[in-house]
Amino acid sequence: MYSNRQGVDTAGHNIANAETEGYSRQRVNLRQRNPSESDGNVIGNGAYVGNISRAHDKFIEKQLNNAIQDSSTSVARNDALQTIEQIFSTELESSVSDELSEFFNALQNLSTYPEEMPTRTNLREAASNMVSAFKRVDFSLTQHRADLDDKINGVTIQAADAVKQIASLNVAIQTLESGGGSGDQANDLRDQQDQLVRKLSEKMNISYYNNEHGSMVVRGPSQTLLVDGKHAANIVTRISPETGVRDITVFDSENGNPKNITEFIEKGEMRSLIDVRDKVIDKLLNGNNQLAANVVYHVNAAHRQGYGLGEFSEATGRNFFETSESVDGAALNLRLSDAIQNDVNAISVAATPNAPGDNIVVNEILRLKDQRIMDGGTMTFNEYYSNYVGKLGLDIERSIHEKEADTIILGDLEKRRESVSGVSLDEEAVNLLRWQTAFAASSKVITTVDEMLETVLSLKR
Amino acid sequence: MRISERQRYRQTNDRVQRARVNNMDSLEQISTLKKINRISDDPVGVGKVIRYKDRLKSLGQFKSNVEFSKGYLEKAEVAVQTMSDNLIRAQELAVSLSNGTYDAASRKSAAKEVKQIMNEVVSSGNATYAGRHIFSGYRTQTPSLSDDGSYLGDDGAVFLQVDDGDFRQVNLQARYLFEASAPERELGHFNMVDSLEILHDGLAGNDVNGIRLALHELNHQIQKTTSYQATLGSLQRSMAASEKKIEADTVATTDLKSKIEEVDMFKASSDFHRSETVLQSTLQASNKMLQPSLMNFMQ
Repeated sequence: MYSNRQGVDTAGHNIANAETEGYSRQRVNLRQRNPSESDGNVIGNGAYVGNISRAHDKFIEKQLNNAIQDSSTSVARNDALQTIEQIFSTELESSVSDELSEFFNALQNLSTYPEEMPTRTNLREAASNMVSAFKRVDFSLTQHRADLDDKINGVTIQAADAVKQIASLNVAIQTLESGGGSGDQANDLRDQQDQLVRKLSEKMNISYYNNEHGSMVVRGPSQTLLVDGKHAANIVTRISPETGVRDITVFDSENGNPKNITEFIEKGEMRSLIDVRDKVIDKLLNGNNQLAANVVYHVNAAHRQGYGLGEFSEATGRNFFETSESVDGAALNLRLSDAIQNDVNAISVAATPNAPGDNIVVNEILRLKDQRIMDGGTMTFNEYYSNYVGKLGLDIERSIHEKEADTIILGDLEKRRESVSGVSLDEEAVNLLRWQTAFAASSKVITTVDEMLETVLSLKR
Repeated sequence: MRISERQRYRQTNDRVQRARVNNMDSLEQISTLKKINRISDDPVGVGKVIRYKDRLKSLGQFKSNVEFSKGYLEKAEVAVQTMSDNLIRAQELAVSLSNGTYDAASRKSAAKEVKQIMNEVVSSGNATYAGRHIFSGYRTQTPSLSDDGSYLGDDGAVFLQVDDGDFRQVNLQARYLFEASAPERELGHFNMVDSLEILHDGLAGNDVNGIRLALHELNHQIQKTTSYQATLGSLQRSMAASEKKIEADTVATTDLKSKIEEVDMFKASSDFHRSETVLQSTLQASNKMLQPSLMNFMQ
């Protein structure tokens, strides 16, 4: 009767956990009691609860963890990229490309009316809009890099937490299982541990196995030991002095040696975040800087040949833009030259002194627009821009496809896992009925025995 | 295969989500009328669209450059035509008054008319377009001719861009229209206004030889003006050709851009309807599917 009660309880436990993530349904395994022998007859002694096992397929679990790793890699990459995408949105009417076109159009106007104040002022406005566009891209990208850095920190904290919990569950499982009984019985704790391993593999690539004591051993990227029995490594982020962004470091014990694993993380959310932070954003920043530096260099080179108006009509050699010497930071430090900022007469487009109608220099600058200047003389300014934005687009498109594929694979495996380990209410209902019937039958045995005793006792009267 | 509870809900959820995503996508296309709403929608297309957008902006600018040039050239043509008319009128006066039958008084009154003609020639030589003296080269803020008709401009040639890498001259250097070049001087020719001055002096001084000299000189000036006009005409024609080219190019580029960027309305709305039907039937089916469980039939 006790055995049958246990069956109903387990069904109840299953039903209660029908919607619990990572729960594996449990089964009561009854065993026959050892028979006793009397007078040469072997008499059955009924049944007892041998153990309660969980429906669990290690093979699917491993596959599932791999799939989780792949999908969290592509999902994280996709998320990170899609926020960058907004910076280069086609909806924007003030992209670098648009402002560059506007700048050249303002130059065209100046070419038509080189002596007029309004066209000069208009050019200065267009130029400073272009400067803002370059800066906006630079600023947004840098901001995104900082955000990703924070996110990496957050993910690392979650991973460190999971590692510690896995280790403490190791202890709890050992305590529970050494308390007697046979086989791995700490079902619920093991479910929790599996769940944590799954969470950890979302973050980074890990390998794991159960050692001879039934404790879980987890190794991280480049075989770094993360969990061994009750012992957990500490994972932290440290800001690297060279790059100014966070590196992921593992301390194998409280005061152990630090090991930088940033480069060794091959998969998981961390890899994607690090990739986008260090590679994708870097490339985009560089593209933006290259474009800014080249526009500045060539426009300035032409502009220095020109004479301005008014007090500037007899001297040449003025820059249009000012920025840093190196390509890095070209967009960040971009600004109009002081002379032009203060007086539009300093815009110098005449090839001869005292010639307000002379537009030779402005035409020289206009020619830059169609010249293949960028990327070793293969692309115009605008082609370069559309090229690097297009590359980002392809990157994002690929990440979407990867994400879709990985999500489908993951979904499929999760369904398979659920199929093995998940709780079906119908099945539990059947089980309940089964145990109930058995319970009723056992009770019937007792009443029957009772009635028999009664009969025996009533014989005396 | 066992079907567990979580599996059932998850599957239902997935299906509903998928239907919703498709529905949202087609709704976005319909409401923006654009196929490309993010660069990842069509990265190659985006590259092209950026280039076409830039091209359209340039073409718009080239068009206004051409418009400006046309106005500029028309104004120049009108001015040169006025000069030419005046020179011809002066020539007529010279022809009739070089005849011995006229007396000093009538020549004097004709001299007044020639003075008038001189003023008109100078003022049309100083013609402006949008505030710039069209015959002054780069010195657009200085009148082209002084009151006595000497040329004050320079030889600046103003070029404007009418296509990628195609810069066209929009002003004809006017120095040799108003001024006699060195070889001309050797042949005994004068500046344009000076030839009128000679006529005026000849008429005022009742000097028939002077008038004859002026007549000869005016023929030369009229010839120069006519050939200048012809050159202006050819510039105008080439501007008109550029304008046609720009217009054709604008239409073609707009077309290309919209093919990549814009939604085929018919397809988009039929997609939308389909996705909506799918969504609704998914929701209905899910509702039905999630209901039954053996638990409901117990007791």
